[in-house]
Amino acid sequence: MRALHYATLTVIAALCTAPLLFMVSMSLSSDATSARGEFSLFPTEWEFGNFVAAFTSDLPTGSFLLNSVILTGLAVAGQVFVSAMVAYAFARLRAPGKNALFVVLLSTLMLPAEITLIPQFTLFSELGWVDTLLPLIVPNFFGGAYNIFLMRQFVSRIPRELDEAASLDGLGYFRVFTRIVLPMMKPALIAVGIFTFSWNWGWFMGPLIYLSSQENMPLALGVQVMYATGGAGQAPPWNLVMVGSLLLTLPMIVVYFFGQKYMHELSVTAGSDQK
Amino acid sequence: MKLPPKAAAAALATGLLLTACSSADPGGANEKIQLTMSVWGSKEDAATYTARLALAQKKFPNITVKLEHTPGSGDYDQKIQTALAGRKGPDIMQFAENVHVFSSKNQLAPLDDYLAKAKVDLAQRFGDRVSAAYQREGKTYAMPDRSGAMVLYYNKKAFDEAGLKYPDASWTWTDFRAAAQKLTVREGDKVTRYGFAAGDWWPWWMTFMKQNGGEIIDASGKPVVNSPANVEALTFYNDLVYVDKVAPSPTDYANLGKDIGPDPLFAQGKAAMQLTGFWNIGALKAVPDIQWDIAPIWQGKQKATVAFGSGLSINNNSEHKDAAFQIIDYLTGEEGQRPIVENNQDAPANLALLDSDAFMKSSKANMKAFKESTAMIYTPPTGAHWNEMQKVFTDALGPFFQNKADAQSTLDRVQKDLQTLLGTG
Amino acid sequence: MTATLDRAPASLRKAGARAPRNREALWFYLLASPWIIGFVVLTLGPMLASAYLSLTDWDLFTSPAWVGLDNYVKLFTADPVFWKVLGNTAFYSFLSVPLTMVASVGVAYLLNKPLRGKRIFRTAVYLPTLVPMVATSVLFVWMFAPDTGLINSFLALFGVDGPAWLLDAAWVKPALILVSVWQIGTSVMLLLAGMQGIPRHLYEAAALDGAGQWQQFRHVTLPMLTPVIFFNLVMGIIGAFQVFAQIYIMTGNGRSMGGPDNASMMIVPYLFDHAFRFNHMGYASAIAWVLFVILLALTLLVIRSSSLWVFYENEVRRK
Repeated sequence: MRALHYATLTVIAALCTAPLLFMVSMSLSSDATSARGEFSLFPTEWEFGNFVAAFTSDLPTGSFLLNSVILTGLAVAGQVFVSAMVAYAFARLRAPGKNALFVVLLSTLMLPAEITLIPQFTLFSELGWVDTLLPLIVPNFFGGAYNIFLMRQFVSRIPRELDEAASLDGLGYFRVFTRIVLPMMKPALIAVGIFTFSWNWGWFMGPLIYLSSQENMPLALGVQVMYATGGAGQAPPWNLVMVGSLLLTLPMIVVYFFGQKYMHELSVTAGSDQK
Repeated sequence: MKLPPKAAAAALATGLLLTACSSADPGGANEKIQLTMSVWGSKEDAATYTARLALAQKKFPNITVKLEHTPGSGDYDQKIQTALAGRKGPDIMQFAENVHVFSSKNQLAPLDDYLAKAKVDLAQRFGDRVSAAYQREGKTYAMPDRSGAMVLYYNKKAFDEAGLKYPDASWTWTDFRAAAQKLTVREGDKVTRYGFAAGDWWPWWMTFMKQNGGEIIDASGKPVVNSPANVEALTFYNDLVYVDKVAPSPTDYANLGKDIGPDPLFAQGKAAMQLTGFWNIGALKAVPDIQWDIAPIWQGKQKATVAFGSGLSINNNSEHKDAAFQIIDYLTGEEGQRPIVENNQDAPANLALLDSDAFMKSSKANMKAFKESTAMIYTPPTGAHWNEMQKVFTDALGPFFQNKADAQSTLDRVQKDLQTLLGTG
Repeated sequence: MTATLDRAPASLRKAGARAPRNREALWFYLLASPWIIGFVVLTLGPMLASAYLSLTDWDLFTSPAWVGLDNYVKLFTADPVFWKVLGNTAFYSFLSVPLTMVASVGVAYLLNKPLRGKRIFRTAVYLPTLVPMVATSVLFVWMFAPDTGLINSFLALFGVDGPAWLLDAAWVKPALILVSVWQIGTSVMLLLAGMQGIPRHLYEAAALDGAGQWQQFRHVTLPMLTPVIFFNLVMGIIGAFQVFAQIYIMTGNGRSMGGPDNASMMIVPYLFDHAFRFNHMGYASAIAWVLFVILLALTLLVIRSSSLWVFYENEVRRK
């Protein structure tokens, strides 16, 4: 029985990792192999120079990466802080109309982003934000309904006595939030941060719609651009495309190992991977 | 927000350059103008545009043009559309058959007044057939820039081995088909060299239709796709793949990797003949072990070939239309087009250059084929709905090219869908 | 939920003064203002605009022309592709989500066994979900190559002549489903967490009643997991109905996607084509609203039906 479990798990693990091995093998192939399209599952060539070539070729891989970092960094900062602040308000402060607002917030969870896609596109066009990262970054500074909901649940579980004591000490609401509640929200902040990171790091549709100049594109779109360089009957530089794919994947893995401790919160947030 | 250090440095450098230039040329003390120009293509294409813009910069020291290059060609339209919608469109844009998708939405400046003022005679500079593609409802929306006709590329060694005479314009479909059969090399079931390679791109199959006397849209604007002539042409085309088995199927291509087409196949010596544009001359330079040459395409009931051209348009929202016109006028003039020839990038649209010795000698290939082909060029049925039309073609022809539908029912479907699309049902 | 929201801190209730309460309300609106403003500017406004646009013919450049319900009528009666698009999306979602679910329950069950090297297996199963969809898509284009691809090479080992996958109208959707099954890691981890939360005494009680491995799984593990399965199902369907990047990259060439012959065209790619390739902004808005209604209906259906099969722990206690 135990042997069977091992055998089954080994097969499953092999099926899951084989494509990744293939990605690595392709990324280490020579240009000639790449042009012929004859790749093998296990690397037979070791062209580490491809990792340099990806940066020195005519495609600005360096700026793709930089844009990804800018986009993701600002998105995470905005999303985490603002969502936490709004969540605190919903969890702790009393105000007329709050319950109605919370129902509105919950109902926006049902709303697919596609509904607002075209008018938002027009709005950002009018603002002259097309072909900048702004339409991708700025909405994060208004918080996200799902994150606010999750964090509100989290704050509700923090004992009230602490911030009540602080309020009695004369600390204002904002300070209670930043000094008392925010530090206690750490697991939730990290979970939302990781989720926001993975979403924005791999986000494809937004950059595709808003960005037209290569120098403004993040890596997720950049990989697709590398892949499309072939076109018109020419083969794409497969080895470099796979270098790009690896560069796109590695930070995700790093963040995963960093955030493994918070996996539970993360898995609760990350309901779907479809972008 | 969007000024990374690199861009800032570049802006600074351009600024310094401009100051340097204008101080050297006190006469041209005009207002300094910064334009953007978007193009697509390979990195070699980008290099040629850069070289041409450097010449333009010398000629007009006060106008600096920044090149925005989209690699490949697939996403270009969508990118331009988004940019135009965001009022961020480039001042100058490269367009091919898609020009009227944008001209029909008032996004491109009509050039007629500028042309008249600058006394440019389009027909004289580019010939009638080439300029017509960029005109709609009596207005001109782009100046022709590149215009290599689609020609026949053939592998000389394969022809020698098969004991065949090299092709020329007198070839008929029968000659072509017989040659393709003789040029195909098989090892068991596996084809190691195809006699011919084409695919599902419209210039290929549409050219066979035109050669057979067929049309897509008639003179009154109605679709006439499912004519017997077109059914016959399409059947002939697919028979090369599935009856004679002398050309690769979509599955064969996919085995070589997505988006691989006839060009790499020919360059690898795995296809003896292909129909493609001028750009392949430059690409084949990098492949020294293939002996090849070009010839005008064979003829069917009539001669026909496609012009793989592109023109330069001006954004209707540009703040510097006059300057932009100065630039495109220069780029399509003899001097501005010269790098196209020198770099072997394409056939220049400017007739003076197309006839020139420089062009004839720019490659060891039979460059006269391009001049001979200009008279065979037909104008494809482009218009405001060209993108949707292409979608109709791709959808309906997909199963056909995989041998899962016959020509008649396929074209009946295209006919019906085009009628719906163009509202002529 | 309302009850918790309104439970005021005891100290403040005692204070009862109007001024602090007003101040508190003011602070609530101040701190919540980013979301409120965002809701109005980025959600409510655009929603109304989208509803209006769906009733117009608009090419993004010239002004919109009112056409009433024409776009909706055309979608369902005159568009040769839309029904196919709906069918494809449903096919993809209703196969990929349950398949992923069944596979994840199995894998999670195995991973929950006390085995050595569990961490390695767990990481291996999770790794695919860390590959962003763009990278996954370019990779799987090669995986699915008809003769030279990894999958068909693998099948050939068993003498199976694999299909042309992405090029074959019959196999392109199964190919996309396969990609989604490859990325089961997220739901496996969720289920695993759920399994680890099942109290031991339930198994012990079942064992005492003479339940074998399978019966324990069938009568303890599975019922206790239904809330997690339910959550996964809802999120999975919503996600699957909105697939985009896979279609754009794997079945497209930059000029068109969803091939061959729209066999893999789905709602969001179809919306994208109309909006950003064909300039049919009104028509695309109508598609967005149809998508919204479908998602709403599906979510409500799952939620309504949940009382029939989702098993909450407190019910166990009550019994």
